[in-house]
Amino acid sequence: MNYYDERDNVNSNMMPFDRQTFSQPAVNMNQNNNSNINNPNGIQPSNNSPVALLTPQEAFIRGNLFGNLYQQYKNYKPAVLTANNEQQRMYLNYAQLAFAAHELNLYLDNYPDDRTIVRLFNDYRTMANQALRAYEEKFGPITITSEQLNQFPWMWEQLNFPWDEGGI
Amino acid sequence: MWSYQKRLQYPVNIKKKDLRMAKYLVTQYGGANGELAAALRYLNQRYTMPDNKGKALLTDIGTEELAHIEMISTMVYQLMKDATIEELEAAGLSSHYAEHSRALFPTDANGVPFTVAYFATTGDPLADIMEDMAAEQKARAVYENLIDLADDPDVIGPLLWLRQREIVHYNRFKELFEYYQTKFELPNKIEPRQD
Repeated sequence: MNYYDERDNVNSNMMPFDRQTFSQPAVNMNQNNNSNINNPNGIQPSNNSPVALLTPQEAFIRGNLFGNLYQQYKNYKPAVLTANNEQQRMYLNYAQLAFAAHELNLYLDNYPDDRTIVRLFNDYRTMANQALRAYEEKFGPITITSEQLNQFPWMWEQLNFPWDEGGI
Repeated sequence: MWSYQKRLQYPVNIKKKDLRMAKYLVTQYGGANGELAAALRYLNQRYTMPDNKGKALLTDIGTEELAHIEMISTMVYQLMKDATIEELEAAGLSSHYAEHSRALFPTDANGVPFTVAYFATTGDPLADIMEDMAAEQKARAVYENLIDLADDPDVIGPLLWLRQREIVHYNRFKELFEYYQTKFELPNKIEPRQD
């Protein structure tokens, strides 16, 4: 499955996670409820399910995996996040998958019997765990359970904290 | 228990100092409809939810709100970072400096400190979940006010994202509310409370 598009490769000389401005005409997602017209690669859980799922990538920039719940504010488009290097690219991949799994987690709390979504949750959970391990192996621990902590000296302080420069 | 991930749920990288915006934005940290109130409200209410469905949703949304506290705190910190005392005074933040220097402190946009009275809890699942639905709508409205006041894309991006989370959470709480309504309010379906 490919979670990237050409946007990941533009603006390569810019600062971390540049956001595009909001001057473009807005795409009104609200008119496309229950349809994957905005999301040709979106996974549709089942014909009778009330949810219309976006891809992890589309969901992450919107803050919403559920196309049928998305409500745009005025003409503001979601900011497009641009990965400028391998570290950001690998991090975004993890953050997108973790977010998709989290969205399905909240949904499944209410609908534990939705077999399709349980399966999809586990797909995203597995991929997110793999992406996290791959990131930590290359760039240092995000979690205190990381294998990367089996080193000397103590590695937990290697990555900056999120509010500081270089943090994620 | 909880474990920490050294990352934000959604990236925040504000490069432009903006004390005016910091002063407004802090309300989503320590205001009545802010993320701290949301996290503590849900995590406090969950103990008396009638079943594991409610306990799970309040735990999982409450946990996500902790991550939103970190995003908002990061935004306020980055907006205020490197401000001189003169700039803080000009922005009306000299009283903040007197009390807290450049540290974060949870208040609303008027400087009123956070209070636990914000996390209304009755112990009645329908009343509590309805409260949570209202809280999500109020937080969404405040995010919209803040987006109206902002002009930096690095600020607007995360605010749009957080606003969308309020919409998703509202819908999840609404689904739970309707489930409990059916479970507890319909004739012949009223079950005795555990107390």
